[in-house]
Amino acid sequence: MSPAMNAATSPASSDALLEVTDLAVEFRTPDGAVRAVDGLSYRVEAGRTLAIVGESGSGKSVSSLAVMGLLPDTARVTRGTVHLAGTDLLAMSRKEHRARCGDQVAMVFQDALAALNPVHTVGYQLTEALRARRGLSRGDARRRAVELLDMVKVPNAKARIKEYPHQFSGGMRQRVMIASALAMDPDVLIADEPTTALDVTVQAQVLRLLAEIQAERQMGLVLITHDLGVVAGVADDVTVMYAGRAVEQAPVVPLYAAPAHPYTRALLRSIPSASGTGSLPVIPGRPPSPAAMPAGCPFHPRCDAVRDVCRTEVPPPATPAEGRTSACHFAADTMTGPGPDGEPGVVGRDTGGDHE
Amino acid sequence: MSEPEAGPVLEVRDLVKHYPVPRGVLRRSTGAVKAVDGISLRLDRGRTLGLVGESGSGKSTLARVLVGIEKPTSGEVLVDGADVTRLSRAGRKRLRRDVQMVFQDPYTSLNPRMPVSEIVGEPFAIHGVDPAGGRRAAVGELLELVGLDPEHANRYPHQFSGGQRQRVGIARALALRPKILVCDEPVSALDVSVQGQVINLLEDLQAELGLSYLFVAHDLGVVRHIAHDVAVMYLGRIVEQGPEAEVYDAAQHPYTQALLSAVPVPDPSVRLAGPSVEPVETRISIGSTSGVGVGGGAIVLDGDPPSPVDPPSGCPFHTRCWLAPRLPEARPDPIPSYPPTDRPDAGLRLVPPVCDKEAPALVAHPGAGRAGPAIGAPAAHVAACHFARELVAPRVEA
Amino acid sequence: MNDVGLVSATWRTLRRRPDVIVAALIVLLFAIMAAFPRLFTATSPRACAIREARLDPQGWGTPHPLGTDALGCDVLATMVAGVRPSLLLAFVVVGVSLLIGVTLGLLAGYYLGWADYLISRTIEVFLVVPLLLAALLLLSLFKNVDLGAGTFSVILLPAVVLTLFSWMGYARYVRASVLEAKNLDYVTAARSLGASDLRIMFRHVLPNAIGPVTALVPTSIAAVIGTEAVLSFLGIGVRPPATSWGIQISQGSEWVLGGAPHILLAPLICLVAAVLSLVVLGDALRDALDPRLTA
Repeated sequence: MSPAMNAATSPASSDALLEVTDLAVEFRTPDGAVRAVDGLSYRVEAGRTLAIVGESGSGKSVSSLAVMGLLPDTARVTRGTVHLAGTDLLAMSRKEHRARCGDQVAMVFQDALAALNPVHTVGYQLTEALRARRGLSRGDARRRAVELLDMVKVPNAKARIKEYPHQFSGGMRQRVMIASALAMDPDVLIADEPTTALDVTVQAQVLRLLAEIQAERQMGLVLITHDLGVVAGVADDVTVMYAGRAVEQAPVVPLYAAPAHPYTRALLRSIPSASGTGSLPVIPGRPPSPAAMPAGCPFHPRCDAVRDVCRTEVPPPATPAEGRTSACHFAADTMTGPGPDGEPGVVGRDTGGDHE
Repeated sequence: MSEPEAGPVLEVRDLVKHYPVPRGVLRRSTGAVKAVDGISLRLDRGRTLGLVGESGSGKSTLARVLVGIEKPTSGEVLVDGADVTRLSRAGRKRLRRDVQMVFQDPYTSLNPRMPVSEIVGEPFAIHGVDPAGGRRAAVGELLELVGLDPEHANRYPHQFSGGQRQRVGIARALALRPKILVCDEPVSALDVSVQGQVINLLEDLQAELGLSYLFVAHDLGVVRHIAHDVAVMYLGRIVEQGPEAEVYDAAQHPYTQALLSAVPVPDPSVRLAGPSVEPVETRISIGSTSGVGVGGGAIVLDGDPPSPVDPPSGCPFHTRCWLAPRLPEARPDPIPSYPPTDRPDAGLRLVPPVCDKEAPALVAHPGAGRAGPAIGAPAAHVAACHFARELVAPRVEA
Repeated sequence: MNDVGLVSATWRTLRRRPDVIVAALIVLLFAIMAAFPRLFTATSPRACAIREARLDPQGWGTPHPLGTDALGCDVLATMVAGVRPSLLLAFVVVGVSLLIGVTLGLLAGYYLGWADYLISRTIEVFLVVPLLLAALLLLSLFKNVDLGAGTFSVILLPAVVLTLFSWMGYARYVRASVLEAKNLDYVTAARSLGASDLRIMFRHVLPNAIGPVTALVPTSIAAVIGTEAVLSFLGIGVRPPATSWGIQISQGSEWVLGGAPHILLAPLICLVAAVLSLVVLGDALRDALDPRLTA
């Protein structure tokens, strides 16, 4: 367990529903092992939303598959623990792991059409797990299915449980996915890009629904997304991932006010908006391939504040302010430097983040 | 923008594209998907027209009709004043050189079995064009123009990242020196950090080559950044159109307002999905220029857009409109059998009679809007709503 | 430069797979056998002595290394003599039906409409008419035609019959993959550039739709060799005195339980080895020609 990460994730309340510590995942490829996630730690508390932000290939989805025990056969966890209500899931057999997750952690995927079986009715799929695991009768199962669809505000639920996934619109399908995730009353819901395939007006509906359900049941919600707008709208805490690592972890408000990692700062700046009609500030280059990770800080080839030390040394996690971490040699400088709008960011007290 | 000859390079008049829906054993078409249902547009030289709308709004169909992949059911498409829907086969082929398309998905829009040199050079092969200096040199120049290394011309698409592939797609579209580029969601499949690079490239190319863009996207932030004018589509029609600043800052159509307010803002002080939902009225001050906006919640529309096979009568938006049921005109005459509730989610939606009887025309609303229709402006701000009025919606900006 | 690159890349990929090398050697062996049968046996397949019928394999160096068959003919010699007609028949039939099937499937899938209607119904008709019935019909048509005894002439009749009845599978597969491939964005892109139908079909649709069909080829080769044996009963198989693996297999199968399994096993093992090698080679070729799979 990396002490700096742990100390920084959140005020030291110990009632984490899900705690991931120093997780590392490798993929076997013909050219050798490739590290997709490297030393990721986070905790999810009841009633709070953790957003994991990153681009494709940042390891944000792979890490959640590892938590669920759903990694493909070519991948394996090489390090770390995943504690669910105090027990380490990774110490269990794969079967036990999945069974535990099935009960307490549920997952919602981006592509609801692919995640639902086209040849079964929606009602059948909603209650399949319930009938198998809890031995519900047909009638009870049907009642429960209607309840679940009502909960996710699918109109006319009684009739619609008899329909098939293709008869639902994109937004409605995502609601069905959420309903089936809620069927087992999970403590933690992991939503992997749940609204990416949806239109903005429908996205707003689904995000609002998730927030309502979460508040009502005091669930822990892990929201995996690439959309910083969505993060700002719903998250309490944010983990920014880049090239398999958590480069910055912070509560949402200070993160947006004063990002402590150059990658976060650059991401926030690169969001197109009205503010400028000129050239968008962009991050040059592209994310490194996990097979060819640059030496030193993985972000240094694209960083606008790169210095010599970045090219050779992997930055240790710094704590630029209370409750925040940043994997940057100059985290404190970044935070106090010019903010995303070109004006000085909110100054966080330097707590010895400069590890040079 | 600094082009010597101003005026429309592309004009669309009453364009209609219906797809027949075969039904029954005899496969007779009894209905039609009204994908594009009477659209008029105008794109000026060197400018960018943003076309926004949700999936199913017909924006992609419109793009496909404009580049000639689909034939319109009726209406006119004028490129430099010539109606291309009435052209002969050869004439259409000639037109295709003027209007080119950039596709959404850089992973499927490039043939995986062709090297990049062939992909970018294919327009030359198809049109039998031999550029000065030879095709190989021309391909190299195109690759350089879009910021790729000409040395990589012999690589295959899978050897490039998403952003680089999109550059290849842009290079292919530019090969025949088109006047108009129709960009169908050109950045939505790309990573955030790469989107900006492609948008900047498109802007640079516009300045350099004097291109006109029809920029189709669902990301309102991207459109706001790149477009000069914006048209908002709903169910195959344009519901609002005008200069970018007007449409975004002084939207008049309730759909545009809802769309804008639903865009997630990268500012944690604007909570998109706060669990506490206030009634809409308290957050929206109709006709005022202050009050709503930052700190206010989003207008969340109910349900999904209706099917374009059977669009609602009158105003196509009236079934989801948040404004109509709240208007005083929506109150019916007191009839004894009148149901006690008129909440929009109670199964009965009351909207002003005119909304479900008459389709609103796309006209300027002089009373509304910050500036109103300025005389001599390149495009007036118009909205297709019987009750169009300005509403200061939460902004789409950082 | 591009072609050279592709060829050398193909070779690099092939080299990394020992199974491909083995398969290539086996196919090469059969090719040599077909071209120079004398290298493998000095015995004539027609020198049969009924006294020596059903001898067990006697080992290398003896007059009948693989024994003799029911008529006393040398099994090795018959087998070697059967390589050329069998493989030639198989390649001709599969080649021609691929050509027909791919063309019709491409037309049907690309144009749909009446072309598709016509082609799809034709496919169904050919699937419904029994092969043997059609074979008998053809037999009566060609009964009195002397085709000669050249390498091609001996396989002409079975080739025509088998080709007529083996293109439908390819056509169906190609039609299905074309339906899928023709709506991909890069096809739309080519269309928006004004590319002709021919260009779209052959440059964009077909190269990306042919994959599933090529997987069918090796097993169809086995099927052709087997079916030829059935036809030979009707007198429209490979023309005697030429022989084939199919004929040998069908004759040998009668003696499996009669104490002479080698009569069946020798040609059968050759057939299985040839088909498996072709499967491996086909897979390797497909991988090697797909730019996405080469580094």
